[in-house]
Amino acid sequence: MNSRLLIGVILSSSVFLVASDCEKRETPDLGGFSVGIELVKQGEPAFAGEAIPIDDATEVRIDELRFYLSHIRLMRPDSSLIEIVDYILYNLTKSGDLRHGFEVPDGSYIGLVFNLGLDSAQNAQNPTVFPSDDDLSAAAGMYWTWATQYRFVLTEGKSNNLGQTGQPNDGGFAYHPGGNHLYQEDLFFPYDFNAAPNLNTSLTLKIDVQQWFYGPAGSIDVRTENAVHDAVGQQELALRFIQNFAASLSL
Amino acid sequence: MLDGGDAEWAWKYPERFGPPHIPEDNPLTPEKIALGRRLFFDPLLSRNQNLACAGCHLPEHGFADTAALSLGFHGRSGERNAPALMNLAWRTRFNLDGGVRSIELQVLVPLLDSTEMASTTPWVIDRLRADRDYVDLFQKAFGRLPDEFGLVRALAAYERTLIHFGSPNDRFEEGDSSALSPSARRGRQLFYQSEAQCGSCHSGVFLTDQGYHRLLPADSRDDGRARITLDPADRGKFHTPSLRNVKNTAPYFHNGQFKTLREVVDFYTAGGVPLPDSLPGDPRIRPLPWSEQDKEDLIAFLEAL
Repeated sequence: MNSRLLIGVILSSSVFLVASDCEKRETPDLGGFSVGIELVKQGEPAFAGEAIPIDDATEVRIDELRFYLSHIRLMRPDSSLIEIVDYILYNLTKSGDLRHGFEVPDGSYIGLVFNLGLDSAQNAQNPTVFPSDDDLSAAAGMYWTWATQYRFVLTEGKSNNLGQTGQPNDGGFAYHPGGNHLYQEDLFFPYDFNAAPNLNTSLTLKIDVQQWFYGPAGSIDVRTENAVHDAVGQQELALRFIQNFAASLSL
Repeated sequence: MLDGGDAEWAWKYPERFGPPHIPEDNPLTPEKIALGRRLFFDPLLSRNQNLACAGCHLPEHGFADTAALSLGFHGRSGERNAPALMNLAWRTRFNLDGGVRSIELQVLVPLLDSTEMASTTPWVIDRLRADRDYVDLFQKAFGRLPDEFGLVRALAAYERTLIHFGSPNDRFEEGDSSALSPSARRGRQLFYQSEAQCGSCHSGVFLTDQGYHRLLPADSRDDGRARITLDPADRGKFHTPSLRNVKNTAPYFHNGQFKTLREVVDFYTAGGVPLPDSLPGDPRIRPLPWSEQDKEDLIAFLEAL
């Protein structure tokens, strides 16, 4: 996240509650707001590092999941948008990056809007000008050195028959879609809430793993279509995956 | 071959090279170059701390590797031959597919690649900050503690000082007719004659058109230029290497498949290898009715570059 941002502050959820109280004394017109992530499978909780069935015969284990959201905005009842952060990285396997907190102007809101991935200007950034705790630093592990751009989503793990994940015959998967043509814009999630100085609102973005493989962009066979690095022959699969990933998000 | 880390540094290059490309945020200073040189030769950068940049870019071989494919972390190898590092300050695109737009960003490629150093910048920075010498060197070079910013700029600064010029052919082109042997002079004529057209791709003072060409069948393991452009027509195309110092930078081609200059010359005079119509080769490469003496003359010239 850009440290020069107007109102963005990244904090873990527990720290956020304390810090936001301090901030409010100085900026009484700002309310607290946070967005976290969690894995689900058809509405039920799912967890990284554990087997997650995706159909009647197959299960996957997610070892890594990181993705960028950019231009996170809140929608007012009159449909106007207020941007609260220009980019942020969620990392399922790093506790501090499971939930990010922001401060938002007081008022009523009817929904959350964001883009999946980075816009072309963000994607062209030089990672070495950012401090190592910035999400665009190479330290975040999302920079694609050979293409001088960023992966938008990085997820890796294993797959196998039901009940067999963790065996030597596991298949691996690595989906690393990136590139400006894969940018998914204006994903809208209705949610009514009010922001006020003493009010904190916490949303949780659910990520339905099954949708990655059986989403609206088309099914993906994790056994055979198990790698996306944006190579020339993987464009269609990269697009299918990132569109399914976008569809896997819900509040 | 000049190595800017050897002594008090000052630019020294022929006027016909033109001005080098120096990023505004990374002007060259002796402190930065000295730090970059030390980093270049330090295996601390790699995950296992056993592989330095110089482990695959050997100074005595024009900063190239003698292996077709270098071995990196845990003995893994990539798909491409480690290129020679020279005259990089006059280039604007890097890697054999041209995907990297500055040396500062290029140095991250081997550092983070799982088949090369397999490192991360936080690991490296932690190690550098734990070393008092490096803390001092970074303070002198950048006025700050070791960090990613200084790390890549120091390495890039050093690499910009690796300059090759003053070869027999350079001296010949500057008017010293005795700089090339009679055989090399005949080879020079063959190199530039319309029949062979070597000089149409290996052109200019750097002996490269900075373009991308397909000479071998596209390999499913490496899309080449297409990895960057995402255009299937660019599959199997790779950057035209400079031929400067080429006698010291074997093996040759993007995958290092040719061990000697003789093998390379035989490849070209045979007209290359058959390529499919869907991904054709360069039409300038066709069989040449050259004698053994012609080949030896061309090699004599190549060795003088």
